[in-house]
Amino acid sequence: MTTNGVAPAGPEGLLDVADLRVDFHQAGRVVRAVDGLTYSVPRARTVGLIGESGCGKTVSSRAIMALLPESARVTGSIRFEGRELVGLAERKMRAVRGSQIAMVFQDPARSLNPTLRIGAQITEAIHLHDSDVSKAAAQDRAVELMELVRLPAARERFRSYPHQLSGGMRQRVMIAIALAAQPKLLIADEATTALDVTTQAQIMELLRDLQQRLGMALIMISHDLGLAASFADEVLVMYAGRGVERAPTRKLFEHVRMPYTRALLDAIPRLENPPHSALSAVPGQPPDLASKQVGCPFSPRCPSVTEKCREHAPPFEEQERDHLWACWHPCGLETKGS
Amino acid sequence: MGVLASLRTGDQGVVNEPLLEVSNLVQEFTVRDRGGVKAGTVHAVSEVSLELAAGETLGLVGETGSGKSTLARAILQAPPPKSGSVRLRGVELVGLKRARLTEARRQVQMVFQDPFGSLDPKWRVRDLVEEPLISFKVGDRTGRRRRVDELLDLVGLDPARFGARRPRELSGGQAQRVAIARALALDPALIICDEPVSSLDVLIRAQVLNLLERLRTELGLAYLFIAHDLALVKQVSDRVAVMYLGKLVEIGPAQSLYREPLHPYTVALLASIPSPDPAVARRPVAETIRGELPSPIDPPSGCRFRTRCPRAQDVCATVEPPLRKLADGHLTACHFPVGREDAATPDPGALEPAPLPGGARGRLA
Repeated sequence: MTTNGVAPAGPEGLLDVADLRVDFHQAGRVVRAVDGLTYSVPRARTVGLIGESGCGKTVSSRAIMALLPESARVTGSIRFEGRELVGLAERKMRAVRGSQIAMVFQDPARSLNPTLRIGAQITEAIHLHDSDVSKAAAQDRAVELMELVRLPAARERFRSYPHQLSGGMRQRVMIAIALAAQPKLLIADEATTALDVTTQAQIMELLRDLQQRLGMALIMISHDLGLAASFADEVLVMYAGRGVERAPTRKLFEHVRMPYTRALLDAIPRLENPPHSALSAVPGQPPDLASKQVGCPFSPRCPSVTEKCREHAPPFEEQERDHLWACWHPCGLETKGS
Repeated sequence: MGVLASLRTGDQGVVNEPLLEVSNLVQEFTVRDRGGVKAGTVHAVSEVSLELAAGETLGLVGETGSGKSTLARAILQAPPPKSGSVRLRGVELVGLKRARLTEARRQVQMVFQDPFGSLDPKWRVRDLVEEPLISFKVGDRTGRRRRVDELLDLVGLDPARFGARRPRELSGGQAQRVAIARALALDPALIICDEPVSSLDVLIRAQVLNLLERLRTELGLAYLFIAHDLALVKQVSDRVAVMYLGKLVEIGPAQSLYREPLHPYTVALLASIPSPDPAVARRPVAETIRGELPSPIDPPSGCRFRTRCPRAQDVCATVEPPLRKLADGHLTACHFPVGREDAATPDPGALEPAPLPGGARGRLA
């Protein structure tokens, strides 16, 4: 499967996002959904993009795919294999989208065409990226893809309609479609959130296996820090459109620095907890992204907040080796003189 | 409310009588093809029995198609079960006349996954919370308004700030608080929470879970807490029941169910929970469960989990495992309970590849 002509690995990652901003202009208001996001995805690695609804994780990924509505204004830089995608003409973007970078969404039922057999939908995806392939060859390849994503009884399922499949099987079909053009980067946007717990685990294991076998990079977008702990090589935590903490997974979980990451982690129910134990829950809600933000966006909810946090936003910088965070009062460290 | 209050104070004296007693509950639905001809029967809930004491939280876990929400609705007689019994404080609800059923149902309220779906978008928060009081003719207008303020305070919403808002002016967490205030209005003894925090973000989820815990201790509420996430259910429950394809497969104290899960399906659910600690080695879920959920129209013979079970033997296809007590208050329906080789079905045929003799059923009974 890894027959892609892999470009020589430069000093940059496969994907380099730098100072990305996405503004939505709506009814005279400007909503800054992504506010200066910078990160890289190395080849064949999994980066977990973690945060709550409205933190900008989905919007920033749709910006990579140029799938945002016209009311969105994208600035900054998104370089894929060194090529700038921001401002790229739609005609040229079409050669990247799907074939170089593919995406799997949360709701497979809505992404599939209910009136077409799944075999036809996978074959169509193959034709879209390689118009020279014969019908028979495309069909063989579709069955191969169905086997790759471990759809049981692939040949028989070829003629099934989406409604005849379970949610987990439909998500496997979506993954097969996404893999049709052998993309170098797959973006999975809450791809398992709507699925049952055992199915979620099966699909995550499948994605990890495919990622390793195909040498594909994976951006895993999720609200679940637990999922990132199990499946990501590196984690980027986002809050209010910004990156707030980023590190290799082990390092992040061993030395959480940003109080927001700590709060996310402490809010997860743990099997070890005795029944009826209270969860640590920070009060309040994420800020309204339409109003001008001064200071650290997490400061109104932060247990370690000081005056400085309300007035000055901390920079998102590498403060320990491979570990970036944006906080004046990082957890587990003595407060540096301010 | 006076009657309920007196019943509640009497709880100490009637510890042995459960608040809710579900016995052999069966719920089935007929599926018809396009011509209206009966095409099959969905066995949504099959012979489920469980009890819930006053002030107790029973967690109910299972995945899509396990029948957990159908069971909740059957308890509320919406719609009534096909057969079986639902007793609330000793009163049989199945077959109860409409007026008496309405009165009985006051004691059992429900909170759903999507708070916006249960709140009329045109109404204001104050009116939404007052509505159950009006429909049950509780108090006069002044008294009701005072009660609404009390209820909003109780769920952590400032009445002055939120009272006049409409649902669209609320966040998901705030809307769920309004739904909880509505559920509390008639002073119920039991709240059935059906995936109450599944649609909420992690931090808001923790806030709402903590609210439900506080209400439980302050008001002495019992919960039937339904969710697909075993870690979440375990956090809030005294006991946990696990359902699979319409069957109750395991029930027991929350701690022992987690420490010593007996049913292979419970083991699979536990293995599916991503640990928020990357240092913990995950057991691949493929080792604990395989394949897809079978159709509830034609569930597998014998044990319904056997088609996906790594421990399944021949006996599992022919003999349905009864619910057996293997530890204090801890029951499972499995021929080969995990970690309990002493309790494996005593059948030589099951240990060797040979098919089992027909006498197995007699030996089990």
